[in-house]
Amino acid sequence: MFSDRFRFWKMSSLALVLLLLGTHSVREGLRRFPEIQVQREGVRDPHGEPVNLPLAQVRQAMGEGRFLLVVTYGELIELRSPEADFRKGQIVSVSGRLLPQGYVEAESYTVHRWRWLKKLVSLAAALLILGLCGVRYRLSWRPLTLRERNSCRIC
Amino acid sequence: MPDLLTHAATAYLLKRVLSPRRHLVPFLLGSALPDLVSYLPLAITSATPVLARELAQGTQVTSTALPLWIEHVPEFFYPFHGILPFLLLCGLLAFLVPAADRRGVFLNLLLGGLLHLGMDLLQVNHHQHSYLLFPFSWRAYSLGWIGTESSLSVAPFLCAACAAFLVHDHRKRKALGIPGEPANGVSGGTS
Repeated sequence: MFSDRFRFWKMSSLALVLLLLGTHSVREGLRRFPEIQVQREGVRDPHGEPVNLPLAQVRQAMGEGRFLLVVTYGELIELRSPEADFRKGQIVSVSGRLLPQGYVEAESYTVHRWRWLKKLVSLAAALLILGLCGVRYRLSWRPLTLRERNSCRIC
Repeated sequence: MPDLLTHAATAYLLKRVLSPRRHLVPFLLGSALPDLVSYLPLAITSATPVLARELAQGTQVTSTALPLWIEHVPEFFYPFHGILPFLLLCGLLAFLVPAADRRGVFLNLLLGGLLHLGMDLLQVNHHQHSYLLFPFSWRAYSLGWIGTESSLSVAPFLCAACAAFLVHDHRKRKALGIPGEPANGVSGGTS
């Protein structure tokens, strides 16, 4: 299975399957999980339909439990949550109901206070791992191969 | 998902304690790869200068400066956080290394990735795009035992343990007089 025989075709087939899976994800994913703006346009039910706003940023606290959130790709959503006490700039995840007036009524929420640190630490770790790969392997073009170096003291 | 440092440190410790150190880099890469492949495009498209400016203005992205399809690029990569697409990706990457190493690299990438997915499973999932069983299921499975940023409190201890192992190995290697190669007595032979 891992021999060099038909290597090009094996790699091409794997790449093609991955391409198809990705395309399927785009087509079907957008239908199954419509973006908030699409959902908002289509809402008819006065009791509201469930909506999930992951990692939205609080743009403005308008008082009386009303907040303006920036969600995916700059869409603005008004959130109503009497018990929440968000501050401008905070990252929050909210589950709630979308009401016909266009606002979201929160049922549960999480404030991500350390999101910035998580991003920073993850970026550092990603660079470290990619750096280790660069130290351990070198790319040769003909044939396209990653060859091991023996100079890495850690790995 | 826990942060990548926690993923990588856990992978290093597990690999160092349980199995020989050959193919350490593929194992580490495998432990970070699901996030690197599935969420990096999201981070990149979000950080596009035009997009960032529009986000700051709080307007929807419909400008002519950026094609509309670009906001759907991350959707293409979300499945790589699932078992089957990740398995295929490991296969594809394994074919990049010479045939002699291929099986070992594939297994270590895959096991690193499964460790990653297992750790992600423990955590509360706010992101609905972690399709673990894609294309058979579109559910984002989660046990919800730990919070999304809780891993940050464990990361320093894991890093300290990794550093201790690295220093220990370095000293042992120095004592044995083999500066570049992993010492047989320290970490076993080959995988």
